Amino acid sequence: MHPYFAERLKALRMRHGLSLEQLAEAAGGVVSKQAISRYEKGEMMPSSSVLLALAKALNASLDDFFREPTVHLQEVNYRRRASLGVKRRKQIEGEILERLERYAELELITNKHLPFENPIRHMHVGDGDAAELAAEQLRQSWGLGSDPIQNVLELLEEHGCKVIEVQNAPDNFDGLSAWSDGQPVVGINAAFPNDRKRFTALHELAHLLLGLDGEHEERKENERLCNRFAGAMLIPAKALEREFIGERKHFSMQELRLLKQHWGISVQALIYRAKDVGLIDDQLFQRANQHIRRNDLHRNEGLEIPHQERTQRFDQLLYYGLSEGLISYSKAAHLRGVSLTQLQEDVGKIL
Amino acid sequence: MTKKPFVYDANILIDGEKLGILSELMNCAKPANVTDLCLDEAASAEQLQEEVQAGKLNVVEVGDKLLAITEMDVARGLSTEDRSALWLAEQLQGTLLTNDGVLRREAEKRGNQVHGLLWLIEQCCLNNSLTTEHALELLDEMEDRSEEFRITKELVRQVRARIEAQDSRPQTGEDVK
Repeated sequence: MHPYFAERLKALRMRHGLSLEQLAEAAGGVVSKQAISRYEKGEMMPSSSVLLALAKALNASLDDFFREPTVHLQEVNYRRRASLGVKRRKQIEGEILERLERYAELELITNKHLPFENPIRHMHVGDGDAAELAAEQLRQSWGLGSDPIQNVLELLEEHGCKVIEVQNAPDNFDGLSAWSDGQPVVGINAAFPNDRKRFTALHELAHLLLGLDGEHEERKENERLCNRFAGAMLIPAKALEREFIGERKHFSMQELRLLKQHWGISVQALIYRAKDVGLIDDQLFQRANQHIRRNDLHRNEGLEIPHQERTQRFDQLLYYGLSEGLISYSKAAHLRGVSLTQLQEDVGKIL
Repeated sequence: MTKKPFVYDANILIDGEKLGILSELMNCAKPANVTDLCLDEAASAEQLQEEVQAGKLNVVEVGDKLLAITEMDVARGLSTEDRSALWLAEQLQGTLLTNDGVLRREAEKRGNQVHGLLWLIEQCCLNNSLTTEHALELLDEMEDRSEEFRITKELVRQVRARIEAQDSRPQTGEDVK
């Protein structure tokens, strides 16, 4: 028997939320549910034709069935609404695990592994000011100065954090943070607008770097601190003061839109940020939020930012592996989750 | 005398389809074999099915040999389909036809005979499966889209020079051996 096949098949089936019977049906009736059960128990292996049918039903590559399960998710923390059910969460985690496994295999083949170091691990973050300071120190450690961050997802990747954009995720999933064998992992909803991706990614990063995950009563406060950290990473307090030209009694939405475009942070997050650093009082904060709600801007601010948030490292490694002759086109297609024909066309366009 | 069989991988089948010369390739490099795994990977090549139905491309079901294929001691950068092509070439003691550098290197390392699409086009010319004029047109197209075909322009030029030189000699019309 293959050492990993049984476990892999079961994990792929669970990720798709299929019962044994449903998988047998999805495979076009070439295999019975009893046979699948025996495969999952490691009692027998399918023939090649059955494996091809199972792969199609599970939208998997053949390699997905034989890959060593080296990756595990620990301390998973969600940024989500309560309506995100357990089954959907498991599917999201399954997709992230699968993508991480492909990532790990690619790093192994190319021998390019980025170590992670937490530059603010010694900091204790118990209140908003400490979260502000932590963001300032991280910006300094990562050499960001006080300029806007062009690509948050790429920045995280460059510093050893694995970022996975979850495709086809439900609207009530924003993101998650987790650890995977000492590496930080951030998962975000790929369908969300760039400003939301940026904030969510940094909020999740805060969970990982600040070590805030406590019991139920602490969670709300921790979420607030992570938001504060994310806001401070996107626009440092001093920069915001400069942009706001000091304390304000009034401001226009147009001002905030300009700031949003420059710093890549949503208008709503800017209003919170201005309150957090004491540039607007409670009254103005309430008025601004009422304006946002009345005009339905909390659902859609209607203004895209120019910052293109995309994960890039995986593709970079993939094309490096192809160029250096470390990885075949067929393997590269499987790791990227596309057909061989598609990969050939993509390479033709890129080179 | 028994002719050495050929084993096609998915890459070369897709490339052959792109150039519209699958049938010519199968007429030239035969008997033509492919594993069911590679055929499935190249499934978007519609003309392939016609070749299979016409009996020009023999599909070998890997069946219960999957385990042996996944356990082959080969480079990590090869997929299960790549391995299956290599496995079949070794089983049949045939020539592996691939346009993938990593698979080619691994196959050669293991003592297998390997050729790519340019070699195949040259052979097609030699045994009249392709006219010289058609072959030269194909080479022009491959040179224009060299990245997509994963070949160097220099290699294409070398093959073109050989075909043009060959064109002035008497042709035998024999199959590739």
